[in-house]
Amino acid sequence: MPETPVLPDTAAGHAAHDLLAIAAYAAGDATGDELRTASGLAASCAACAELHHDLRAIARAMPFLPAPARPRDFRLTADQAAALRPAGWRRLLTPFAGPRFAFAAPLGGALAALGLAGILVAGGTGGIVPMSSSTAGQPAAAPVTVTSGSAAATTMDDTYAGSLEVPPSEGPMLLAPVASSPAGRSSAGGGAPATGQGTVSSSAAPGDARPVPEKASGEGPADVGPVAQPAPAEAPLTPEQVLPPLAAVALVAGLAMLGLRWGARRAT
Amino acid sequence: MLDSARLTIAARRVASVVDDARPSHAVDDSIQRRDLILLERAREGSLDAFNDLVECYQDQLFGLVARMVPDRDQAGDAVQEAFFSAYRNLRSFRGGSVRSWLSRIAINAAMDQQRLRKRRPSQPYPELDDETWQPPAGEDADPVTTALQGERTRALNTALDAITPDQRHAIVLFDVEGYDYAEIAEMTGVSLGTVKSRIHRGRLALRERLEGSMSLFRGEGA
Repeated sequence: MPETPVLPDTAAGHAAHDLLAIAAYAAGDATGDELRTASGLAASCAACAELHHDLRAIARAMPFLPAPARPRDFRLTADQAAALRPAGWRRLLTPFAGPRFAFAAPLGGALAALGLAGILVAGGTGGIVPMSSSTAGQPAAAPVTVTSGSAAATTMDDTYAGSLEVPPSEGPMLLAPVASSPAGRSSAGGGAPATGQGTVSSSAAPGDARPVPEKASGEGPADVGPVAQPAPAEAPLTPEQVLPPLAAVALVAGLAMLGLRWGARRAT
Repeated sequence: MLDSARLTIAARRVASVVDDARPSHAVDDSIQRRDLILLERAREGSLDAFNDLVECYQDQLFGLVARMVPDRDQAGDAVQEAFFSAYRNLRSFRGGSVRSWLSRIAINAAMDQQRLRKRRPSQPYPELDDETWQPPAGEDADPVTTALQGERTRALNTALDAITPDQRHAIVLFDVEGYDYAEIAEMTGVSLGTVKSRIHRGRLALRERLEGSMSLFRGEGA
């Protein structure tokens, strides 16, 4: 234990002393070096000793401060209680304002953030992908060759895939990203490598998302090669397909939880 | 009629550097049990049960808030609002001490009142000369002791009003109301170290303001 230096008992010396350490010492909170410093100061400096004594005296006197007289009775009347009691839809929200539902705010915020992030990530990787499992997990389609009957053949990049006939089993299709992702390509290409007698070969350009009509529409019948082969139903979902709906669900659920908690707390 | 919680607080003394004359808040099972029963009945819709709780704690809460909000009318409004809030949020009680829960609500109400007061300043501290702040004289109290106690009270109240609100709140909660550091930290939403610092600095500030009247306290041996 280091020896406590003896300090001069002068006003100038006292001004430089650690008064907070004396206060902590008087309160019994000083430990370690602070305790050694404060006890040394109290022992060697008369002003510090007096301060220590005064602080203890003040602390002793505080509990004897009389309580201010209460000006009125604060008990609630029946009318006040009725006005304060939640009614109607507010009553329904009351449970959600309680501590048992306190998890809703952080969980809802986290879900909403995750959902938003998921949607942004999905958007960054090619937008919304089809949810149909029949097109999932298929390898990227080979360059599609399309023969158009009456119109001049065009590339898939330039027009809708009007000559493609989608099997009924495909069901309604969403926006089909003819993008760099395998899913995007497979949706446009029917999920199987397509070859045909077309005059123009085309391949989907990355990042090019186009709506694909459910049925072929155009100026006339079109010869369709083996493009629209139905994909096996048991094909596994790829992360690119799962992410957007999951993110949307998380976002909606998170926002709902946040809104419910906020509304309940506002209402009660 | 239920006993006031204030009356049932035992005078537990903790050996420390400063003799601890603060009211003790050692967990009193019977009081806590009573409070929880009343709270449960109030949750079920019994206004009488809630008013029993009010009766138990209204003196203590007003005493607490009146030292935080210098204006007595505002203090009364804050306490009333605190009980309104407690009634509205009976279901938000998470267990633990009902007294601490009510005190926390009252402190928040007092802080709201202070914020309101800052926006709409009124005449500061009009109640300093109010005789209701004077301690009641006991039957065996001699006039000198009574007068001395009155002087001490006046000096302390004046000094308390002169220090910063944060320091005043911490000192009132610790020295007068008897909460420990951890409880004060939880109630006021600051760290334990901050609570200690506010109390230490507040006492130093009090001593500075009591410089001319420290003789009133120095003879106090107890």
